[in-house]
Amino acid sequence: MANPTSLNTSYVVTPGNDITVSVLFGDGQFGTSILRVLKKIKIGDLDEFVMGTGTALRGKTATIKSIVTDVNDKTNNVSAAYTIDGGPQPLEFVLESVVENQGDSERFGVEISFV
Amino acid sequence: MKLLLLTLLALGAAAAPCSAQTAEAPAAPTVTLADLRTPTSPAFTLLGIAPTDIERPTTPRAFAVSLLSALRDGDGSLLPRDFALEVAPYWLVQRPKLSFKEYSDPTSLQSLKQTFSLSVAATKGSKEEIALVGDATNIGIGVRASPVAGHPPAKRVELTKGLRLAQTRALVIGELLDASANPTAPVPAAIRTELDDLARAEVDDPVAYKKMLKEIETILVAALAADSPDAKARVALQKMAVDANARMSKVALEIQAANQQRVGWVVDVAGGFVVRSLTVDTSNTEVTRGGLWASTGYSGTNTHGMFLVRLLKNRADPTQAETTIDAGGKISHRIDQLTLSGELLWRFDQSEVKRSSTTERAVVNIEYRVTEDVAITSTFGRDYGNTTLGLDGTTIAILGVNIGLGKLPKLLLPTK
Repeated sequence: MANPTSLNTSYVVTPGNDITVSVLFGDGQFGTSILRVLKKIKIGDLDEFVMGTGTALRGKTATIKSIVTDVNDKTNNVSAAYTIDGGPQPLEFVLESVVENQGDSERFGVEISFV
Repeated sequence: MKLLLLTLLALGAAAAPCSAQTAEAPAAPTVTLADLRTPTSPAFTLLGIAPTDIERPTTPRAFAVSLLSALRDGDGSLLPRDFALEVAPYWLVQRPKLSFKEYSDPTSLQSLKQTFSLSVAATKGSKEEIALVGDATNIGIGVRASPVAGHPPAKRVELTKGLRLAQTRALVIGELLDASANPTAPVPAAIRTELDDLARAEVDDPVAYKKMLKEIETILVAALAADSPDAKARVALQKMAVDANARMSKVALEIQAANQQRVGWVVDVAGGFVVRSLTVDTSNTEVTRGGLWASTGYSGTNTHGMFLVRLLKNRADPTQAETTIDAGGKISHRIDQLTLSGELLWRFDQSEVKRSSTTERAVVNIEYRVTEDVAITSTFGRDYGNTTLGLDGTTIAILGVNIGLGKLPKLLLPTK
């Protein structure tokens, strides 16, 4: 069975704390993400990017769409590890896939509801 | 430049009589630096095979299946007779924590892990071996790794910037596609009424019938909406999305190619052995061949150097058992259009019954590129020793002119 390439999840925030997001593309591959949260749009690498405070984010949703391209000729595996932090507990999850041909790209989608 | 050309010509003229001597050298196979390079698949090299059908499993399950099927196809024997496998254990599983930077500019430990590969192959014994010991299977096992892998060339930075831009473009197009409305248009009233009437028909398979009607309606709506602005925007965006995918793929393959061209220090090591098993008695096995390779090199902008060592043992025929150590090195430096290089090659015979003494070869090469298509080369040096390197112990002196006959591609710019 193919791995899911999208995920809807929720994250408990701590009011007043900055809530950050990081996306690490694994398997030696190269990727880019677009994050939309509140009125912000960020395109590129997401490395502990501050989405907003817990207070501002509670009840809101963030969407992250990522494209990862197979630049590693040793494997066709592609993956993206997402980390949300700033609440009582960090949230980490990995989306994985296998592209069919060398140089192909895969798209991952994540929707996070802040509670 | 004129002085340089004259010098090259003078060297060549002085060398001309000697060139005739080298032309008469015995036709024994010459050992070259290329022969000493660390092989990609040591098991295949030791067996002297170049299999075209190589199993390259990429998951643990595929690896297990490859081994099991090889054993099953063993022609009734426990051992496979025609089998070649190459596997990089590190890449058998997902590596979600390995970033692009860690992969392309690895530490020594990471480089060792990600370049370690295992090669295994099995073949029937050669005619000579069968005549010597009877029907036999040779199984070669080898490993290879690059503990120091240098780093990719500077153009990789530009390529990754290009990929970033292509990915950004694809993401933006995706956002626009998500935002664009699905083109729609009302079905004309008469057709709408008829469709609703037909939906009430009694049929054998109501579910399939409703699905069919829905398909007809969808095609109608799409046809009616084809000329709407929404539809035109979606078609344009979908075309851009296809182009963006092609662009990402092209740049990704260029990055893969750039990653292969390592610059800086590189160290490659490999080793392997061949086990011969007799068909009549599979418990009768012996190691007949073995080899070790090590090479190190440096690639800079204008200077390249490498040093290679190879140890080979071969006792497939005990009466002809031999152990040889070959070592060689080459250094080259480019100054504008001029490239100077020097090459050294040694062979040390370590066999119990020596078949040759130490042999050496030393050559200096000068190349001057006159134009993109024409280069003048001058090679001079000396082969020392006997024929085990395929060398006759004479002076080498060659003057040559290389002329490229292919046409250079021309870029035609559009005229306004």
